[in-house]
Amino acid sequence: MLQITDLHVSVEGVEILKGINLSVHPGEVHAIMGPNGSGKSTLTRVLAGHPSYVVTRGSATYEGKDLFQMAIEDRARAGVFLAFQYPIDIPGVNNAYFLKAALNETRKAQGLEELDAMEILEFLKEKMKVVEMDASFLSRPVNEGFSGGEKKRNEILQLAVLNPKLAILDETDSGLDIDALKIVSEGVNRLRSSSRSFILVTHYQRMLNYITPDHVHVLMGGKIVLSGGKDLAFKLEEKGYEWVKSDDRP
Amino acid sequence: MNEKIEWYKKAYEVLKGGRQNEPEWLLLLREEAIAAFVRKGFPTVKEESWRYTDVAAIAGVPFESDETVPALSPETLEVLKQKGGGSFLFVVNGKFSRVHSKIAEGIDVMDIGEAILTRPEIVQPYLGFCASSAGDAFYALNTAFFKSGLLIRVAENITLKEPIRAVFFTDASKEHTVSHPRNLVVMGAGSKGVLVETYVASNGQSYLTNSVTEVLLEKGAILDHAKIQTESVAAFHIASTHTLQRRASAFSSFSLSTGGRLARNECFVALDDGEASCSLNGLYLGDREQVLDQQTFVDHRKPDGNSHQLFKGLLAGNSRGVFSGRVMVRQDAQGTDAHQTNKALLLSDTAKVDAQPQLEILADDVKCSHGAAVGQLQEDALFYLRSRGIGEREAGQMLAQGFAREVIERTEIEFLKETLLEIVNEKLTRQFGSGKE
Repeated sequence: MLQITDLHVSVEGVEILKGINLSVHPGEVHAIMGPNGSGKSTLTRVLAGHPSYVVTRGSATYEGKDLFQMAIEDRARAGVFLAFQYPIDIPGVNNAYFLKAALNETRKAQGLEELDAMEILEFLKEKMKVVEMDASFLSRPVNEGFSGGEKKRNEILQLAVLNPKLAILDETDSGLDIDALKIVSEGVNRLRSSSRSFILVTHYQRMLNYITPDHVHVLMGGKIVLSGGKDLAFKLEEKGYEWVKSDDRP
Repeated sequence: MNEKIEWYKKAYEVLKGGRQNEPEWLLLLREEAIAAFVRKGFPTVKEESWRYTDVAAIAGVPFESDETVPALSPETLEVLKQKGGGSFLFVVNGKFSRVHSKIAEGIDVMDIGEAILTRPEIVQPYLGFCASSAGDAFYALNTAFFKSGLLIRVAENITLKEPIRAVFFTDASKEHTVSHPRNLVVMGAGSKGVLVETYVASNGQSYLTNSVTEVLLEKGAILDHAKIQTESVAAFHIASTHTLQRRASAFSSFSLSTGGRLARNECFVALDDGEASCSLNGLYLGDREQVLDQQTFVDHRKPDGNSHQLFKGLLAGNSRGVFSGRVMVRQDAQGTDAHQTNKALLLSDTAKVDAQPQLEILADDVKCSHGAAVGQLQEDALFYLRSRGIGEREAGQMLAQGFAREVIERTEIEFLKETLLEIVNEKLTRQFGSGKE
């Protein structure tokens, strides 16, 4: 589904990613862990197409296509979804309107009929159950005045609505209390399927108590320095990232 | 005297010949006005309140009144009429057209020119009374030249159940016509109403609308006012609203400005007695070479008044916006609460906005604030929307709409919100839509 090869990325002339290699197959959940400043968020944003990030070398192939040749919206319409670490406020645009536009653009690109206002409303209400969101969120401006937990739930709601093939979650666990973390994690678990893949980017292991990954990768200094199974996350939690650099590791 | 000013002077003299039956007090007002205009001429950018708006294009053309009432297509009339119930007042080329109007119960509407001749006692105490810009050239021209306009009176303790809608329509088939509508709104003590003024035109030649509206709110009166300016792209539009508020009265206004080649919207409010409040909001959307100028002046004269202002601009192409907001808190006006915010979004690299807040505070127990922000569409917000599959242009338009909606939500006139959003969306669709980069 996604094949990243020798990816180098710079921001404002500073190289952040220094040769990333990663293969994600349908249905897999990959956790990418690493200390602050290791390049985790850069990786998620460059995959989604953030204009501040420049690919200087390497490639990313998504379903056989060159991801970096695709416009931001085309990536989304083709099924790539990024749940933001810091979701953006969109004043004056209500959530329902925003979700309707996003869903219909995506449906159009997939050759599906656009849904009308009534159909959308029913559909959204159904999806809001996944993240236990109240219907009143639909009439509020996107993310404006939302608490940290509400913003993250809103991201997962969008994930549920847009039904992507590849969902990239950037530190979705950060800033969540334990109840919100459970709700968000359960939402993700319900959305797992044999055809949908996840990349979970996280600093801490705690979300992985709720979402069991197939693969865990450690990103440090712009490179994946270590990969393993789900147990690797526990080891990291126990021994810290310093351990990865030491000689004590496997 | 330069030749253009002389031209106006001559036109005035010609008119004067036919005005023998006008009352003395009015002739005096007119004489003073034309004299002031002749003395000062049109404003130049050297004048503080006109420094960002050059009216040379208006000053250079001898605009003439058009006396004929054009034949209106039935379609035009229907479209104009169908936007809701209540009173519908139609002013065409500056002249009140009673036959095209519908006057609901509870209000008293007359042609101001007619009222001056037949019932001068209901006009004289008010005409020029609320106005605070007697020295201004356009105000002076209006006073010197006006023939018609709306006199609207709502009696004491009357609550109007339905809005008053006034449409000022210009038939722009002749070049260089001018209209000087003069309106006077007197809201009796404890009365309540909604007034929506709309300025529209048929597409065509260049023309000038130079309107003056005076509003008096007696004790405890409430008026929710809106002014929608969607003149043609060839139009010059200069309009001032002068509101004088008595004790505990409340005035809200919303001005939407999307039309005109050069449009200036002035809103003056004097809180002339205690506990009066006003809320002034506005939105201006420019593109191409448009110049859209908003001027506000809130004069807190007495204690415990409050004023809230929010103006927003969306400027594309080579358009230019101006916001100048002056707040005066006089020594007597203790306990005043006055806030002003101006925000603008520039949608192109060549659009421009000048913002000029001016606070003069002479009282010491007051709460005042002002803020101005000029920016562009936020890159992160665009990225966020696009990352959800929304196209680049649609994302830009959505953000611009959201920006506009925030101020539209401020209007007290619920039924108008949808209309305002439609006008805004139509203009934004032209800016973000196909065929325009």
